[in-house]
Amino acid sequence: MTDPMPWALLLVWGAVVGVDLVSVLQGLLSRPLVAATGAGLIVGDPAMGLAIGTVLELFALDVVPIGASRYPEFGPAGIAAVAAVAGTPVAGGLGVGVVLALALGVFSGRTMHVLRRLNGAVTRRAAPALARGEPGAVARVQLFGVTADLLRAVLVTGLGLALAWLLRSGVTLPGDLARNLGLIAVSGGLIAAVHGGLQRAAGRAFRIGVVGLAAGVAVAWLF
Amino acid sequence: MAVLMRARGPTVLRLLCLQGAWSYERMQGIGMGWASLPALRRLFGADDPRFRPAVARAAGFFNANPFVAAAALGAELRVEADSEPGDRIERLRTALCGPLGSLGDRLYWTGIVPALGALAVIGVSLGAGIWPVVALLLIHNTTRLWLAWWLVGLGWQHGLRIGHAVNHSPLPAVTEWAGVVAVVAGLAAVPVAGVALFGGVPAAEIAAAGALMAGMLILRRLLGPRGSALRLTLLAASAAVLWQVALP
Repeated sequence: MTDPMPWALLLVWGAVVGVDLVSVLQGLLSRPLVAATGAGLIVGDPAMGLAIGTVLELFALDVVPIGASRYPEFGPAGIAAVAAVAGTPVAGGLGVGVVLALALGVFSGRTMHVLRRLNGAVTRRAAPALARGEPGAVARVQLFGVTADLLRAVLVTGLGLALAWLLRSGVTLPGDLARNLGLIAVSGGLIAAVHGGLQRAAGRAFRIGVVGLAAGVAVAWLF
Repeated sequence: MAVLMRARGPTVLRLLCLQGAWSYERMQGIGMGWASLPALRRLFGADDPRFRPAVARAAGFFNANPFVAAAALGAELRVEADSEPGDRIERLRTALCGPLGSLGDRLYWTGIVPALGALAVIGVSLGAGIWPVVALLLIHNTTRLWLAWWLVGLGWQHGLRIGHAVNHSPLPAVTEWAGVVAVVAGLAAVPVAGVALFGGVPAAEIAAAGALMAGMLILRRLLGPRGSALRLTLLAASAAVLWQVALP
């Protein structure tokens, strides 16, 4: 990955994924499985993208992004993770990539809180014009919010890609550490999915959850 | 109705940016105001004395699930067109926040989204490549666009009675089914993804992973939200790095 083109494309993809989470579209491009798969296709390692995306998606199944709640942002983080370990065997790179993505995801989620407060400051400043019903004021505040989120997404993705570049440039982890991180990452993802599923099942008949688990075991056994 | 028909397209498209300027003060208010502008311009014209008060109301505080907020927007445009008193329009907006938030959150955040995510995980784990991901995007985006289109029209048609209209629509039943699919698929994804991700790993390591998962589950119970799987994973990873790299 010495060709500059994939990095630029990854940055663009990260910007798109970043604004998709809340501000524009909300078309699930920001789902970690989608974001990481897209990154994998960009860098020519779809298998790694799918693997990292799958584990991160398991973590995402434990997240309910309701209203003003704070939650990690896995989209740009997943892209950085794929960039960091693309080209390495999945067994060796998966854990490193996922752990990097989890840490980045927590940080990235916190930037959403900063953005919301910034939007609030801009809205308060425009309050007199908004109270007068000036359509231009509405459009300006909206444009500011979308632009600010785009900038945030670019910065967060850029930071992640910088970390990915550093990892690729000279950091070599012992082989057994990489494998252990993989086991930890997958274990955590499975627990996250179990917890998320049980939370959703708690509101309905628990039997439905048991049916789901049994169905999964049957599918895993058959295929 | 003809006015909204001409403005429905731009309105639905602008609803894709409903949360573009989300803040703790007005939440989706600015986005609602911006999405209302094409229809309000067609309803009143920029020089009409009713236009600016309607814009001010449209950009006030609002918060509901972004995928079903279209119902509130359509209803608000209808009552503006009917020249209802301003305070009545504001009460309608406020009254719709809770029900549309609850319905939409159950339909999407604990229904459709985790269901699609889990089904995609299952598909990828079974070796279907990128196609489950493509299917996720196609299904979500076609249904959400259609839903926004339909809900704007429903709101416009029913105005003040939009709550009744939504309650008697297929949406509540669809929400229940989406929740069931999310539970079944979400838990089915665990063993399927587990087998795929642990494939080829020696039995001893799988046993170690099992012990780790048991420990995480226990800690999750004990610590509550502070013991999320994400935090525990980062903790375990940090411990592994310290053990193997920092300690001789």
